[in-house]
Amino acid sequence: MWPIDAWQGRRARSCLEDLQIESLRFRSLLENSRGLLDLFADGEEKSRGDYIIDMHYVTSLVDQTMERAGCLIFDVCVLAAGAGEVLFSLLDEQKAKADAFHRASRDRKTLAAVGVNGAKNLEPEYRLLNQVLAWFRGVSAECEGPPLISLLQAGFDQVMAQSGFPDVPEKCLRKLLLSGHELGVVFRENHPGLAPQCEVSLAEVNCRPLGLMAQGREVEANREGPKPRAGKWLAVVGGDSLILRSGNGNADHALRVEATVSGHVDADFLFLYAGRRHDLYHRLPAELKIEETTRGRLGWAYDITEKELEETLIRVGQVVL
Amino acid sequence: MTTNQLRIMVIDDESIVGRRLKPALEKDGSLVETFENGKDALERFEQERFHIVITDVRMDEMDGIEVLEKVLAKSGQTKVIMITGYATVEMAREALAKGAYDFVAKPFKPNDLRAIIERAAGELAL
Repeated sequence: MWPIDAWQGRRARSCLEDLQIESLRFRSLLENSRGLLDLFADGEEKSRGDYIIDMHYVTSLVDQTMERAGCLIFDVCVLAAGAGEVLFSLLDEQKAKADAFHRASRDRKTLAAVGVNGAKNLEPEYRLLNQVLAWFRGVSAECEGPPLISLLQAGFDQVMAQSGFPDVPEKCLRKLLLSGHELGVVFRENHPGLAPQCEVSLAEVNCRPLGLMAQGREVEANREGPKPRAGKWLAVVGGDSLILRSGNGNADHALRVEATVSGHVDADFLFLYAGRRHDLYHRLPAELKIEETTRGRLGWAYDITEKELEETLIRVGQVVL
Repeated sequence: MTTNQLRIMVIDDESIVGRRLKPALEKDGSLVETFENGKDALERFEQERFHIVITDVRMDEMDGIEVLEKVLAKSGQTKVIMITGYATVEMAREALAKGAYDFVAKPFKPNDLRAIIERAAGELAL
């Protein structure tokens, strides 16, 4: 048992710690989403017939995707309070489908007899794999009910709808005026030289991803075009990393940018979420992996060079700042 | 083993493996026979030796490690290649320690296996 003194001695978490914990959980959500999509891609690659697969491959693919989906839903529930009941109910529905695939894998005669989309010559293993792939993405009429990808979509919608702006104490905030926007800035590292609530310059912020986006805005400022959307802005900044949120309380207008540009391939990434009424929704860079949700679009890139990441952030800055 | 034609035995309780591998390996001029269990395969091996045995590790009645041991006991020249969907370092270490030539993890491309077979055939000096 914990001694009472130990609890009494605990200090409240700082806003920065809260933001860092949320950021870590969000990274976990991205990792699990990426893992899920990688499994989809692996199944698609194996379905083309170049590989020799067996029934074990198909059933283990189903198991792995369900495991990832469970982790993903757990992340969402941590990030979006109150989302659990709906999402775990959806997860149970998907588990029932996964169980049905396991049963089908043991009934090869039925699989061999039933043609799928006219593909009667397919072997049972490939036939079942095609059914599993249809379930992943819901791309065929054969998939009854919501596909597995709907879990990911619903998860991100929940997170974006509910992760409004954290209540950041004034002592943690600085102000950055950028292209007419007032950004609330939270430094990942302490900056004792900068007074709370003071105005800081882009140079003082010294955040590489934000600097790249600002470069894009400078390019765009010289052109005619629609003015960027107004709203509340919050940037959590580090030297190589940025979390940028913007919105007006409506998930359809939400924007979230998470980026790390460090030159280390394993660490660098970019994630974007744009609500369906945000300007970026229709202008997500094509080189990103893009997924549609009911309230917006996700775009992300992991396997991207430093130079490509820089260029992409500049283009994103053209649209969002 | 008097002929120059490479004789290959494929053992896997997942019939798709034999069905897919047989035509892929026969394209190279090899003679390929497929089996869905170790017992039938070893009976055939008693009748005629094969240069290369490709066997799944996990099978219900007789696992691939047992097949490996029995094949090598009968013919030390035969190259045994293990295939598995449950590849682990421990399994690979055990199989290699017991004399397996190499192993390949499922799912695999026929070309992955073909490269191993070509290397093994080179050492057989047919």
